[in-house]
Amino acid sequence: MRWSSRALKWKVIAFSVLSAYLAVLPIFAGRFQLVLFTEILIWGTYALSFDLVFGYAGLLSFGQSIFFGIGGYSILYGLKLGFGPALSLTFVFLVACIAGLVIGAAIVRAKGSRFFLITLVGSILFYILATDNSWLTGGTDGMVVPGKFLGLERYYYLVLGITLVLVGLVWLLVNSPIGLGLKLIRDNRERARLLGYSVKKFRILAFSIGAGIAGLAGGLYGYTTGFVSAGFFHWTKSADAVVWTVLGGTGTVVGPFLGAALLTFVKNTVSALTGKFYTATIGLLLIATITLFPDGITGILQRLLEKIRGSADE
Amino acid sequence: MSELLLSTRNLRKDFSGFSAIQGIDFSLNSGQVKGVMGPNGAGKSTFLKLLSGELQPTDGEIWLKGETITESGVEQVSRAGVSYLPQRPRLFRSLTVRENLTGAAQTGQLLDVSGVRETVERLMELVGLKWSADKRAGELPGGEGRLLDLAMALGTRPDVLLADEPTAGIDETSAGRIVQLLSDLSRPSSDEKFRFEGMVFVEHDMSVLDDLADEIGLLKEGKLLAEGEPEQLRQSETFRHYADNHRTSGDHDGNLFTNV
Repeated sequence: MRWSSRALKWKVIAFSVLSAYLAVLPIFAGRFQLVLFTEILIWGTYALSFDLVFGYAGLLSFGQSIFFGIGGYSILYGLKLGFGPALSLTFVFLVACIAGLVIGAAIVRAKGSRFFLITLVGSILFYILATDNSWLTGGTDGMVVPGKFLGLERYYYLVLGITLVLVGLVWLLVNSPIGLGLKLIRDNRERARLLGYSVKKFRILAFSIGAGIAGLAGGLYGYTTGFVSAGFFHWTKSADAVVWTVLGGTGTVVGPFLGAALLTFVKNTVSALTGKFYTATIGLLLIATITLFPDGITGILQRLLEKIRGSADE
Repeated sequence: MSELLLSTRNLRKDFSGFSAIQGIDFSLNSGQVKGVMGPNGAGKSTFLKLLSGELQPTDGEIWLKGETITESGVEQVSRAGVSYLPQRPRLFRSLTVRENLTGAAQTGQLLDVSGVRETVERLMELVGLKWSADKRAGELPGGEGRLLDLAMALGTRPDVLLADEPTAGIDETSAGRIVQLLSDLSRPSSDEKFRFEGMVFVEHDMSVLDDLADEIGLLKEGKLLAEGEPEQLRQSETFRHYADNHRTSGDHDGNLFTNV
């Protein structure tokens, strides 16, 4: 990850322009677009949680849906207990972080494919538990989140605000000494240990923060749609996070959002045309990305940018 | 000055069905550099790995500055002040030289960002990698990779440096530079901030052993056969016997004894 101060400047400009665009979007966007963008932001945040765990800490987690579900039910019960939205969302983050800490401490020692399998089985297990305990979760029928409808615009701005703050915090984190520690561990675990890094502690930290972010995404999804169900825990939700991130570009903050945006957009607009071939289309797209552009969309963009810059220098 | 820095008592390491280290008593004093030599398979690298915490001993004890580190894992040993330079370079290949060094320098002072930056600049100067700061470590040629590896080992500011064949398999210029650096930094009078108090290194090359070591230990089949100052050791019965044996048997270390 080489970046000069000039590259950083461009990133800041691009981020500011995009933020400004998103900030004024409700002025000209219709209802459908507003819902779509709210959803994209939430899915992007959710994918970001996976990226932190996989792209930075090197843990192939198929268990992000566990925390997405925990987040969904935490907001539901937070509001039911009368905490109010702000406090409930804080509650969501903390509960998911703690869940991540406990689960992470138990499983981060597992390596590679074993970690993947454990987290996959974990999300299946949580889904079964949630469907079996419908007194608590409402099962697959779900439960309605208490509180009255506040309007699409308000939900959009709430989600946008939280997303921007989270993106900023994650960016700071991955560019901090802790972020460097994570990159070292991802690159060469044995050498990192030789230098005195506790691989376990760093990984638990990343897994826990990732869990907190996935939880917030689940909480926001439940809050803005007014509905939470056992389906939040379903392992395919974990797979979504993986697919979005890999497509967008792992190990970057913006990649998960690009991947989530593209696929959510395609799903909501083009699926009417492609019909039942949607899943197959996505599958082919993903295989093509992994084989041809292993760095995802951000990798393609970066190469394009370097080309443009290269020809400008000549 | 000759305060005990690092020591082992009856150190043993068994691998399944085979005993690699068979009861070694070893001590390194402050201000001392000890070289370890011996034929291939003598257990030299295993011995260093035990000292670094990368391997756990089957039996025996390891002490560092009066405290036991026998049970400590590699990251605890590192934080206690022992740096280990493995035989093959282990770099963070996809990260830049600067990131590699920052990673080493920030251990122990995670929050002191400007202090870390200063340390990194000094390290790059020391090993001559200033112009490669933004290159990926994986792109460096062998000699520079080895220098980066050494700079990382120094970056944690160790009291004791363990080096496994620090000059093996690299170009002469880099090798010379490494020997010079190790010699400078182990001198008690050095005022360089990366000075260490003691070093144990494994080496095949007799001239490097002569340049660096205050004492040399001869290791064979997991046992420390003889120990002493280079000249003294060379005169000893054990060493002569050993050298003769290995010259005639055409051991891999044949080159080692050409200038005996």
